[in-house]
Amino acid sequence: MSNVNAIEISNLSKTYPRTTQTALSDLSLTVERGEIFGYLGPNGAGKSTTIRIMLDLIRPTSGKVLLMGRDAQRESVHVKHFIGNLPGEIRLWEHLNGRQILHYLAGLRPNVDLNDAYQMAERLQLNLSLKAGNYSTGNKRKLGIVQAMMHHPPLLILDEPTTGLDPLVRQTFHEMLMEARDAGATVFLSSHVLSEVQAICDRVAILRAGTLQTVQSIEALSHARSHIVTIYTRDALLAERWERIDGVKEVNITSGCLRLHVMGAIDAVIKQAATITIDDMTIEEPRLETLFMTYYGDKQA
Amino acid sequence: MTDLWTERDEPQPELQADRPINLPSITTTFLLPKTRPGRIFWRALRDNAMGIVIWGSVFSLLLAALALIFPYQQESNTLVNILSGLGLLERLTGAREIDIAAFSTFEGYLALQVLGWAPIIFSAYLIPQAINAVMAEERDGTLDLLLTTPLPRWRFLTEKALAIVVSLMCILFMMMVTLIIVTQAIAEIDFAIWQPMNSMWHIFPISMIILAFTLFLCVTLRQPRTAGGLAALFVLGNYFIRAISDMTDLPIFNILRHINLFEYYASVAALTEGVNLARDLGVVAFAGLIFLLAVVQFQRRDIGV
Repeated sequence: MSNVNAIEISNLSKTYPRTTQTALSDLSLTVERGEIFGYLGPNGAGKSTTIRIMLDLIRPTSGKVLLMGRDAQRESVHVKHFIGNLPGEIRLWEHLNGRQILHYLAGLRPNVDLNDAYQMAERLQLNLSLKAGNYSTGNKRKLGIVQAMMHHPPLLILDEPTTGLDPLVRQTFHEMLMEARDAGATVFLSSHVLSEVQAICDRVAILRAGTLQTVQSIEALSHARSHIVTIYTRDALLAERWERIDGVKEVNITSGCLRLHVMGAIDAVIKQAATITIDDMTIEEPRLETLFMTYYGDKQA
Repeated sequence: MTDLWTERDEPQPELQADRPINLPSITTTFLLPKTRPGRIFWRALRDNAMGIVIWGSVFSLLLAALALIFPYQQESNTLVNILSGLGLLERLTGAREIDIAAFSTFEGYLALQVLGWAPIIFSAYLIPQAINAVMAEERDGTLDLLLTTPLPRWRFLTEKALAIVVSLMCILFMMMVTLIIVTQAIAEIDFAIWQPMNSMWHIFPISMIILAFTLFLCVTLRQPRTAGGLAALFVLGNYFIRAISDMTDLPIFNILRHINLFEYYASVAALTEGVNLARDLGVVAFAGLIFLLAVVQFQRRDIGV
């Protein structure tokens, strides 16, 4: 059992019967035990569909999912002993307070120590005495994180976990994930935020329109990463000086504004920028869609 | 590595923000501890508590009020006379073989005023309860949280259904106790204690059919309004087909009578002659069969799509 992969997805397809829309097409993927695996893709790419099939909430049209070596459909009740799940859109019983919700969900799992749950809530600065109806989106998310992790599952499946969390709590959550990984847990994390995935994941799969585009190590993705650098200056700007820099894909100069599309490291661009007088400067992470356009061609956009 | 699947007897650690997470080792299926059943049931029953009190109180008060009015009603007997004169009395209650004179008694009066309509009135309780049990949890997304725990789908549905059944039994019990108390307290009413028991029990089997059928619709259809509408149509349709079949000798209605829900509900007969226990249990068994179909359907379907 210890040698099996945490997740093995083979030729998974899902077509919704009513809309005949193909949500997933022939997806195959392996996640090793003990890694934090990012599952990236724009909204509607099929990330949540994959997760819902893994959790046996929906059934695949074809293909198979093994979680910890067990069939996620046929042995779903068994498999769920080892899974902690945070849904993409967490909704709670609004008439219950945080403590009651944790108690309710803990009762559906054997031998959950609620003290662990309360510790996690405290780390995330979550007030458990408030009713869920009064929780902000961020607080609902925090409670979702606690219920997903309170039984210390060997496999965490998290759908857009940090949506609505403030940066400090996000940092704490990342630390908790690292601790889980260090203790041997596998984390499968779906996101459309490239920087988050880059910060915590070991490997990344990129999904688009239900099709797997690539599986890369985070180093490879970082190399492929791009930025939009915008510099406002009163100095004269020569396009050639910027085009010569390694990684600069596109240079746009309008009155007093230089806009660069930079692939990979932006160190050389910053050094070049230091030679001129800068009024203002922004470095933006391109949207995931832009990344796809850059790396997988317009025809796949 | 801490094995979290075994009971912890040691004292719990104090809160430590930086306490690392320990993970359980994976064991084989038969070694996995089982979750204790009943969590969903008790939660649902707690959530229904206010509804039970309100419905039980309203019906109990209604029965008490009717019993208190009965001695005065008996003197004039206005409603029975009017309906009887129009030939509608037996048709309204679907009691073709019941003597009209029976409606002058407290049993007939009770059946005419409340018990004859009880399945329809209770469907207004059971249909929303069934929709809330399944469709509202699914619509609200809370079903996702429940079904990603090691909770089998069949157990979720069964515990939810049981909570509704127990809620209904509580309401019927409150009504029965009220009826026993008031009928024993009012001298003009000659009513044995077994009669309220029979009448309340007799509401139960037909209610089970309504509940099971609604649950089946809830796990099959996607829209709560559609499920609720079809369930209401099922109850009212059965009632009116039965009423029409009482008024006509057309052969088709004779056939429909036998598969009609209300053919198995006779409120006056239950009060005066007692219940046919074998028939009532047969109806409950049939409700169980419909529920089984609902469970199979719920096991197969996609959730939240």
